[in-house]
Amino acid sequence: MIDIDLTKLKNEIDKVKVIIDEYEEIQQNIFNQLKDSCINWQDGNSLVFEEKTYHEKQESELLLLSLKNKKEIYDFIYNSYSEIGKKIKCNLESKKNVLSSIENCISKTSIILNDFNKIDTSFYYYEKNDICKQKNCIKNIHRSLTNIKNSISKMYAKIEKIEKEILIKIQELDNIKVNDFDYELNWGDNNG
Amino acid sequence: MDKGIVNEVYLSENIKQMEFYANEEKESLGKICQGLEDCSNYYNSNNTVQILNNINEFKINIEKLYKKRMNYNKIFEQVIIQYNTLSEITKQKFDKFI
Repeated sequence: MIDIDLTKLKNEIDKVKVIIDEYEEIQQNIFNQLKDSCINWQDGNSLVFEEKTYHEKQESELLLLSLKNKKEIYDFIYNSYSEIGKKIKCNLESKKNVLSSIENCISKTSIILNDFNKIDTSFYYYEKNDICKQKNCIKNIHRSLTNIKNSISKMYAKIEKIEKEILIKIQELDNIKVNDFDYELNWGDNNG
Repeated sequence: MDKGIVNEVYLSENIKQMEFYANEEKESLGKICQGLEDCSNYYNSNNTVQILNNINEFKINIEKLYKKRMNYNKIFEQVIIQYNTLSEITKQKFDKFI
């Protein structure tokens, strides 16, 4: 079952964007502090520490990127489903039943139309107009049902395509693991 | 490197700032994960579980990252202690001549 409220989703996405931007600034401040600490502490140990913080920064940038990628999945969901509507509820599992029910109705109208065609209107001269009217009415219903079936079929196909694309994007998400800080102070003769 | 300089006052300030930003980072990452989870309230499908699993896996990083940031501070604190000890030893050696 798919249940989407795009207006509320957009609100949440916008909130997440603001927090990610704030986080980016915090991360920047952390690395500014680390850079600054290497001005306030200078020896052999600090040189190694400074080099290690370069890798720390790279790791943090990847972490930030992975958060942005998670948010972008929701951006993708919003943009893709916006083409369909604002609130979407759809049970993809009932696709077969829905389409076969409509197909059933279409078949019924075809049978009725065949029956109409069998009527000899030359014999029922006075009823001919009414019979033609009713026949055209059934023809219109047949046409409408066919259009509805095509539209619904296209809609299901579109939703299935979007869902597949979302799944691919989720599977492409990196799972960044934070590593331990591999650093130890060394107070040997040449350090400190 | 044949010299060593530590500005204790400024390095102590770095420790304070780092602690502040580490807390901010932890809180901010928690909010981001919560926000991403909240998004899933408005997108419900078979894919939702996988998105939530991915967010949950990410959450493990928050505490690890916090510990790591605090680990930087432990290193700075050790540096300050070491330099204070060295200063004290040097002072004591010179005091002998006075």
